[in-house]
Amino acid sequence: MKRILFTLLIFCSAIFAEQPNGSNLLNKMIKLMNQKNVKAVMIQTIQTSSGDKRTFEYDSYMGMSGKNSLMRYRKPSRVKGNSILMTDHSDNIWMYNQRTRRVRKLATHAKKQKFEGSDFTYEDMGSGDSWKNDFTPKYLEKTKVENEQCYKIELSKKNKDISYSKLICYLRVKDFFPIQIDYYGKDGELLKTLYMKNIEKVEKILTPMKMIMKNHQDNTQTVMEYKSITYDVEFNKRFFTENNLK
Amino acid sequence: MRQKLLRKLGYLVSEKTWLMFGIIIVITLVLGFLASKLEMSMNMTNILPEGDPMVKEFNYIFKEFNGASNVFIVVEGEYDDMINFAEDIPPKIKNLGKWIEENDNGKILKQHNLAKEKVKAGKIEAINGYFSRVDFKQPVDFIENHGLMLIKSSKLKNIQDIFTDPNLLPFLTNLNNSLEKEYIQSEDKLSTMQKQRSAVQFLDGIESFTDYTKEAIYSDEYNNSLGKKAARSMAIGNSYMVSPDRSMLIIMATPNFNIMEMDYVMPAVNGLEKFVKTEAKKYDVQAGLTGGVPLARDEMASASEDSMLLTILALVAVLIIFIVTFRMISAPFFALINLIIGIIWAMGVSWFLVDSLNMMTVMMAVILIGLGIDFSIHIISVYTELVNKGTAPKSAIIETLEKVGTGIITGGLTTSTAFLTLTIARSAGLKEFGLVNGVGLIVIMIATLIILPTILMIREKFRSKINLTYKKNRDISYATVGNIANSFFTKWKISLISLLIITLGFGYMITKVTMDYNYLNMEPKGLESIKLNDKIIDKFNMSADMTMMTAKSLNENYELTKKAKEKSSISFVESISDFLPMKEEQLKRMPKLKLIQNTMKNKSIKSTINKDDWQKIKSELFRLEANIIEIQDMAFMGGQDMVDKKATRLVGTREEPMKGNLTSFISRLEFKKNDFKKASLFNLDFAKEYKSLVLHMSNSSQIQIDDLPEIIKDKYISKNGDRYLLTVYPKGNVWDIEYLEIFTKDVFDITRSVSGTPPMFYYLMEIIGKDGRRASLLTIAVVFLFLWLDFKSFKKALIAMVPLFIGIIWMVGTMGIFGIQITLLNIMAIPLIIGIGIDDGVHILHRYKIEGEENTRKVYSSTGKAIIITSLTTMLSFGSLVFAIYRGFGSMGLALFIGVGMCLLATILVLPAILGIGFRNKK
Repeated sequence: MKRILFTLLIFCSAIFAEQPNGSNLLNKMIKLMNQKNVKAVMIQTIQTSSGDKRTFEYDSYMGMSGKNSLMRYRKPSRVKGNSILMTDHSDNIWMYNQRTRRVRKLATHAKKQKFEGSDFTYEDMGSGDSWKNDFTPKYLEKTKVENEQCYKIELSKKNKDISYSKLICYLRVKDFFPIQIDYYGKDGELLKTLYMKNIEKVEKILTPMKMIMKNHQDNTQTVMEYKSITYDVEFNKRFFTENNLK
Repeated sequence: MRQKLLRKLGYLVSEKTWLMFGIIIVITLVLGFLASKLEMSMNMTNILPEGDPMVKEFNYIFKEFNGASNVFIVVEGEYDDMINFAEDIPPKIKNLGKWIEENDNGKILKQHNLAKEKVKAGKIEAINGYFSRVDFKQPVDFIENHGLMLIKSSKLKNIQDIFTDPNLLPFLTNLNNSLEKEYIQSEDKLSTMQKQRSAVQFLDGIESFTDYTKEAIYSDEYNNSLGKKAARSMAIGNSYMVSPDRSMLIIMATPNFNIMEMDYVMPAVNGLEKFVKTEAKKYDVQAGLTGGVPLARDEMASASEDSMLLTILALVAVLIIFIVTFRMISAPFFALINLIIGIIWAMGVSWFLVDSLNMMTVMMAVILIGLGIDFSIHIISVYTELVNKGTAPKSAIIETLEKVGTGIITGGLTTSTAFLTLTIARSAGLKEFGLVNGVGLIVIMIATLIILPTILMIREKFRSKINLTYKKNRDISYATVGNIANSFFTKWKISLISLLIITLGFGYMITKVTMDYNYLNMEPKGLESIKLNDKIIDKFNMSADMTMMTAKSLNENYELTKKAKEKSSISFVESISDFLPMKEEQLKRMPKLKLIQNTMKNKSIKSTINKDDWQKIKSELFRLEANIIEIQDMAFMGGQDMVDKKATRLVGTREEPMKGNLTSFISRLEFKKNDFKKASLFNLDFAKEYKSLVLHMSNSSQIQIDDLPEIIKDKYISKNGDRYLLTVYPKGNVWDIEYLEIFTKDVFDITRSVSGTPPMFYYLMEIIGKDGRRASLLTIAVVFLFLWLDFKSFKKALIAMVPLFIGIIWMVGTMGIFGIQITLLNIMAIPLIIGIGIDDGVHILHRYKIEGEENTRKVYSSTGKAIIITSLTTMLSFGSLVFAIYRGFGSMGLALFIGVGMCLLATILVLPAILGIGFRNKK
C-alpha cells in the first residue's frame, strides 16, 4: 500500500510540477549572464575584409549588470590605449584614440553597427538585462543541443528599435545557462548564432570562457575568450564616464 | 546468334582479307576526316544543361551588350608610369589585328590568319577588330558636368560643405568637418565593401592633394599646374582603376567575340598578351592578362597540349605492358595500330554525336586507349595460343573470334553501358562524356573484331611468303596469382576475417579523406592569369570573375543595384545607376546642388595667404591628420583592410608615422617667407580650378538617359534599348567553393536572372554532384541486371559485384592514406570505376563456369593473367593523366589508377575467399 501511495505521489507531483515558463527562464538566463560587475581581460579574434584573422586583447569592465561597459585595448601595439565606452545599454558610445588623444562620440544609430569588425554589434555587447523590455519570451520545448538537455525559448521582438525579429535561446536544463542563441532578421532569416563554450565556475559564477559568434550571412565568425575574469570588483561613479577613457 | 555472326566475320576476314582491308581503309579515311572536324571548347556554357536559363542569359548579354566577358590587363609599376601606359595603349589595342600582322611571324600570326581564312570561307562570323572597347578610367567629362548629382543625398548632406568655399583654409576646415560627420562619428560608413571603396577614393583624393601641395610648397620653383591638379584630385578624384596602394592599375578590354569562339580567343588573347608585354617594357611597367577569356585560353592551350601528349604517353605505356607481358613485339604493334584506327573511328563517330569536345570529353582518347586495348589483349592472347599449338592461321582467327568474341562483346557492352548511363545527366558535359565514351567504346570493340583479325591475316600472308614458322610457345601463365587466389579460396575463413579487418581499416581512412574546395588547384600550375587574379583580389579586394545580371527597367535596375551593394560577398557593382540616379533621388539632390552653386558662385578667391592663415592652415592639416588616424584605427579594428592600407599611406603607423605622406609633410611645415608666397600662388591656382569644377559639377539639371556619354550607354544599355546590364565583382576567390557558395547565394538573392562564370560554375558543381550520384546508382542497377542476365543467377551476379564494392572502399581509403583529396574531377572516377572495375570479377566468374569452382588455381593462373594485363594497361593509360598540365585530369587519372588497381586486388583476394564459402557449403 505504501508503495502504491508513493507511486501516486510521484505521479501527481510530476503532473502538477511547475511547467517551464518563458519569463522565468529568461529571468534566470539574464541573471546568470549579467553579473553586477565584471572585470576581465579578453581576447577577440575577427576576420578582416581580406579574409585574414586579426586578434585583439583588451581590458573589459562591465557595471550595473551590463548597462555600462568600458573596453581598453592592450594589443596589438597599433591600437594600444584606444578605448570604447558604452553607457545605457549602448545608447551612448564614445571612442578614445590614443595617438590623436581625442574622444569622439559615435552617432546614436551606431548601436546597431558591428562592434569593431566583429560579428557582435554594440547592441549585442551591451544588451545586459534590457532583453526583458525588448522581447516577449515564450517557452517552446525541451531539446538536446550538443548532448545537453536544454530548454528552448523564443524571444520575440516587442521594442521596434531592436534589430532582430526574434532570438531562440537554448538553456541547459541543469543550470539554465544558455549555450546557444540564434539571432533572426526581419524576414525570419537566421543571421547569426552565438555559441557559449567552456562553461566554468569562476568565483562560483558560471562563465563561458569562450564565445563564438557565427555570422551565417557572411560566413565569418568572431571568437571572444576570457584570459582572466573576476566578478569581485566595484566601480566608482566616475568609472564609466568620458574622463576615464583616456 | 552472336556466335554465328562472329563465325561469319572470321570467315570474311580470313578468306576476303584484302577486301576487308580495303573497307577498313575507306571507313578510316571517312571517319578520320570527320574526326579532324571535331573542335574543342573549354567553356562552361558547353557543359551546362542545354537551354539552361544562365546559358540563355549569357548568350543574350553577349548579343545585346558589349560586356559579356572581359580581359583584364593588369599593370604593375610606379604610379606615373602606369598612368602613361594606360593613357597610351588603348587605341593600339583596338588595332590589335594590324599589330599582330606587323609584329608577329609565328604562332599568333598563324592563328590570326586562320581566323581570317575561316571568315573568308564563311565558317565563322566576321568581327570588327578583336576588341570593341577598352576601359581604363571614369568618363571624366561627364563627371565634370554632373559629378555632384551622382552623390547620394545622405552623403552629400555630410560632405556638401567641402564644395562651398574654394580657398585653401576654408576648404580644409570644411574637409575636416565633412570627414568627421561622414566617417568618424559612424563606423557604419565603412561597413560594406562599396562604402569602403568610396572611403578609399576619398582618401586617395586627399593623398593626391597632399602630394601636389607638398610639391608646390617645397619645390624651389613654383609650378602653376600643381594647384590645378590638387583641385581636380579633390573634386573629381582618381579616375583610373588603381589599387589603394597605387601599385597596380587595371585596364579592361571588351572582346568582340564570345568566350566560346576559340578561333578568335586564341589569336586575340595571345596577341594582346604579347602586345602588352612588349609595350610594358617601354613604360618600365609589368603587364599581364587575367579574367575569364585569358583563363579559357590557358585551359584550352594546356588541354590541347595534354590530349596529344597524354594519348602518346598512354599508347607507349600500353605498348610496354604488352611487350613485357606477352614477350612478343610484332603482335603488340598490331594491337596498337588497331587501337589507333579504332580511336579514329570513335572520334569520327563522335562528330555525329557532339558539336565539339568539351572540358570533359577532350580526354576521350586516353580513356578509350585504356579500355579499348583490353579487346585486343583477349584476341591476341587466344590467337597466338592457337597458332602456337599448330592451328592454321585462318582457322585460328575463326576459332579466336568464336572463343573470345562473346566475352569481348559482353565486357564491352557492360563498360559502355556504365558510360551510357551518364546520358541521363542534366549536365550537357557529363551527358556528352557518357555518350562519346560509351559509343566510342562500342565502336572500338567493333573495330577490334574487324581490324585486328584482318591485320593478323595480312601478317600471315607475309609470313607464308617468306616461309616463317612459329616457335614453340613459352609458358607465360601466372602461376603465382593462381597460388595466391587458391590459398584465399581454401583458407576462406581466416582470409575473410583478415580482409574484413583490412576493409574496416580502409573504411576508417575514408573518414580522413578531405575535399579540395579550390578549383584553381585543378588548373595548370603557375598560370599567369591565375596569379594575377589572386593579386587583384589582394590589392582591390575584388576578383576578375564577374557575374552579370540584366534588369528590364530602370527601376528594376535601381532596385537590383541597391540590393547588390548591400551584399557582403560583393566587392563592386557596376550599373547605369552610377551615372543615372533615380529621378526622385535627383529631385532631392537638386536644392542642395543649387545651394552649393549659389554659395560657390559668391565666393571670392583670396590672392594672398598671410601668417595667420598659414598658422590656421597648419592646424587644419594637423586636424586632417588626426581625422585620418582615427579612420585608420577604426578600419584596423574593424578589419576593413583597404581603408586601413590607404590611410596608412597618408599617416603611417604609430611606430612609423613618417611613412605617411601627410604626416611627413606637416611635420616639416615652417613659417618661411617664401612659403607664404608659394602658398598664396598655390591657393590662387587651386581655388580658381576648384571653383570652376564645383560650379560645373553642381549642375542641378536632371540627368536624362540621352545625356549619358555613348561609352556608358554602350556598356549598360542593350542594343534594343530594353534591358540594363549590371556587373557585380566578387570580393573573394570564387574558385574557393566555400566562398563561391556564399557569393552565389547572395547573387541569387538579388535576382535569378544572372550569368557569368561564378554562378555557372556553382550550378555546374551542383548538377554534376547530383548527376554523379544518379549515374552511379543507375550504373550499379544496370550492371547488376546485365550480370543477372549473363549468369542467369542472382547470387552469382551479387558475388561479381562484391570485389567491385570492396575495391571502391579500398580505393577511397587509399586516397585517405596518401592524403589525396576529393576534387570536382576525380569524384567522377567513382561511376566510371563501377563500369570498369566490374569486368575483372565477370571474367573470373565466367572462367569458373567453365573450369569449375575447385580449379581456382587454374582459373587465376590463366584468366588472372588476362585481368592483370588488362588492368595494368587501363591503369597505365589512366595513370598517364597524372602528367597532364591541366591538374584536374591528373587528379581524375590518379583516382582511376588507384581504383582499377584496387578492384583488381579485390578480385584476386576477396572473390576466391567468398567462393570458398560457397564451395565449402556445397561440400
